[in-house]
Amino acid sequence: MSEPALKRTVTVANRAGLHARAAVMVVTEARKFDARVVISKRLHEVEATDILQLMSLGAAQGEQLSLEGSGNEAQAAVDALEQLFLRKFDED
Amino acid sequence: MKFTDFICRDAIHANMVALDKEGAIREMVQALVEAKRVNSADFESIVKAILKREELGSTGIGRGVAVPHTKHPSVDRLVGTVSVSSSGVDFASLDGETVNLFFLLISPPDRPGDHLRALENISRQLRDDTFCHLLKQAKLPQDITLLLDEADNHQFGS
Repeated sequence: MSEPALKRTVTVANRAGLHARAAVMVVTEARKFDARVVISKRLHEVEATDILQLMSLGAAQGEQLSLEGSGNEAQAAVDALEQLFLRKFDED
Repeated sequence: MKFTDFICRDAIHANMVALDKEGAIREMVQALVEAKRVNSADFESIVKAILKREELGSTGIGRGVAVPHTKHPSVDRLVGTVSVSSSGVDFASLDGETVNLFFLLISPPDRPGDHLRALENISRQLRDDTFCHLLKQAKLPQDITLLLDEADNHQFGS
């Protein structure tokens, strides 16, 4: 039986939202891990490794996203992505 | 947000001449100047701002697409254009591929939400492979306009 997926909620805190450069940071970080992370805004689910999908969320400042990780390094991957949101993508 | 809300039709080009990043950006901003959406006096300043943004990381997001952009105080609303290059431009893209399809955006500094919604619209529509492929194949500005209109009217997926 596979491990249950790891879920966490993050808030988009930076003023510009999940724009192109922030999305690139998410993709770059997500690709470092042996894990699959699905990011969702309400019912809209996308892969953390796909920049076009990430930008299609149109996630603005103040909005909440859910990170759901699975795979060998799910914990580390979700932790790392959460950090990017907490750091406001080094903006503001 | 729809394409018609921010893409300046008169600045759409299907035959980009430039083969490098700076040339491509200059060509697109010049198209906006000629369409009278940007003042010629602001041309150099806008080009420099877009190039500076590229230094932070290429806006070549892969799949042959780039979204060069900047904030600039000279515009009071989001303004954008589309260009297609049949030969492809070296844009230092994330996936290393050359770029054939460009969406250039200039937004007022105090409107991050509009920029985000434009990116959302572009990326949602480009997820449809047919739309993306047809845009890259466009030979005339009218072809691009037609495709954007069809996308606005939900002729493509999502």
